Amino acid sequence: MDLGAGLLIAAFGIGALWLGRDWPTGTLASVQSGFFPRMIGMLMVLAGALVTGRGLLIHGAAWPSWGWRPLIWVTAAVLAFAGTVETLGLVPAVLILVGLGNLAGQPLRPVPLLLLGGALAAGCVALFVWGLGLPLRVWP
Amino acid sequence: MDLLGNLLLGLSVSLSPDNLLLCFGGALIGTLIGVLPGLGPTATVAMLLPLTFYLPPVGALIMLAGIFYGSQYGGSATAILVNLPGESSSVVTCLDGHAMARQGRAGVALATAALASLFAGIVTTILIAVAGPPLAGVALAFGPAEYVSLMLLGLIGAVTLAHGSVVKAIAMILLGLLLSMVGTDVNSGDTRFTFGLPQLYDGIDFVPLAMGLFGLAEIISSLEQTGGAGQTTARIVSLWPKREDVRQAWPATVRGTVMGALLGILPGGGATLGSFAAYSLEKKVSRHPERFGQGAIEGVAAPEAANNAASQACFIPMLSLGIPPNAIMALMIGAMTIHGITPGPQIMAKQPELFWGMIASMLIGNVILVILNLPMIGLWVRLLRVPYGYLFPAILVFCCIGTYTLNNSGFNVLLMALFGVLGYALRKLDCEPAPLMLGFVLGPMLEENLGRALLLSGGDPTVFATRPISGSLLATAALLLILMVMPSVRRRRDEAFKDE
Repeated sequence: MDLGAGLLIAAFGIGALWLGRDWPTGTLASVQSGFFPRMIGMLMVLAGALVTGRGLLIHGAAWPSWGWRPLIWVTAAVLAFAGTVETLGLVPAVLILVGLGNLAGQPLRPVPLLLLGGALAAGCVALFVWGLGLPLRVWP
Repeated sequence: MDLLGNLLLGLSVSLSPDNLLLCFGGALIGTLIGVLPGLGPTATVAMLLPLTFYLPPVGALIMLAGIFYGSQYGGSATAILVNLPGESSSVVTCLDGHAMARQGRAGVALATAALASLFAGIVTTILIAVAGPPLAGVALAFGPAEYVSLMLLGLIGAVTLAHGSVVKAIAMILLGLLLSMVGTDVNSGDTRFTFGLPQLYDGIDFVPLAMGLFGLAEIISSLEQTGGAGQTTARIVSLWPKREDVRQAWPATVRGTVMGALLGILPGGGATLGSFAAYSLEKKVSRHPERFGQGAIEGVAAPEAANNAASQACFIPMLSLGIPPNAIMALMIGAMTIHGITPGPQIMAKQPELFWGMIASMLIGNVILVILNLPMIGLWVRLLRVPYGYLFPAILVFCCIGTYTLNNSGFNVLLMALFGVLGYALRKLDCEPAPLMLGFVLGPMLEENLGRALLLSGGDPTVFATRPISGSLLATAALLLILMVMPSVRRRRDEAFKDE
């Protein structure tokens, strides 16, 4: 656990240092745009090394079990919404979101699922489009 | 500037029909979402933030404050009825609250929690009104060096609150600072960490970050744990405490309020610290400490009073100094920024009706909470039985639309999904997202003041230590850090958090 966290933290730090390698740091009296990123990046590498080191010393390498199913389906549902809301409109996007999201837990049976999706889509149109008057495309 | 006049001004703002309705709505929706297991105040406020985009600033803040303390209260209801703390500050309420529920006294425990919170809320609101203005006066004397030191103190303070490894919490702050740098640098116009994506030139929006880290990650964790089932809840028989209960709960409530308010003002302090400290204090002063954990009413009254007092006292540093002491206040600052308000010492002088209106609304909101909760508690119980399989798609839909409508960009929804994965991964790796949020909000302020302080001193970094106020703030931060790392303190802190 510590090992993974430490490596992740250090990776972020190294990434920041590498991305910011060309930015000017300036002098202490006149700090430029590269100063702060470099400072934070170095501190992160240090923190990552500390956590990694402790992970190796104390725990050895242990890896926690992940809930892949909810992680994958929730992420997929949200990404699908991001991709469809502008092209297909709100109602289809909400239905797709609910349909994919449903796979993340114990799936509902088709009828309750359709009712839930329909109710949510109708509720969103009522609240956001009619109620708040947001400029959202509703249908494809 | 007299206290009474200010409070009257505030009341006139917050008692206007619109604002009263928003306060009521906020407390109601906050409780509704807060009752759902696994969704604490931070996630609730993050998710409901978009509801307030289209309101006038005062109304938005009143509603958000209502959502905040509503969800805090909702968390206690879940803790008592199903022994599931919605957030870390309800953990101690579980111990005696659920024990009372098993003895058939769930109603009494809920009523005690509500009334203790009401008392603490009213006292702390008056405290904010008294302490806010002088503190803001102090803050006006602050230069950039003092601000840098104060922010460092706040960030180090946040580390003390995070459970688990100190280094990891610091790393999370650093990651937050890093994320805050994405976008165009104000001074030079250089774009940093944008990967050439024009959508990132303005920086990462606060809403997708908060919703992903707290909202989506919480949903994924909850699904992993429960798979989507509903909860069985304790039955509620009688609501009203007996005379004996009142006699025992009353002094505990007062002690809890004092403890919570003190710890809430401290940077990094907050509801969790307050409720833990109040619980251990009660155990210490009690003549029968063995009753605790078996359904002692003091064990409900004190932490509930303390967490409400602490969560309101947090507003003091946020409103008067513009520095958020914890993740929820960071969310509030984010909300204020969206409305074009800069929190800080000037806010009281420049926007008195905003400042006092919000404070007075807390008085009203606390009363609303009691009215809302005691008669309607049966409704919350029924809500707890709704299977999560029906609830979480609704929450997902709300998160997605909220983020999308921030500026009609699918890119923000995509970012939210990424931060959801990151939030879940961090949780799995035992890294808390709260310090990250704080670092993200404080980042730009910290960088700006750091640069300015160095510029004013001609590049002399000792300026932070040699200016008296700045120096003592830094010394306090250093002391805190040393205390944290010292083994004996570590052990006691881990003990306090061991139930989580």
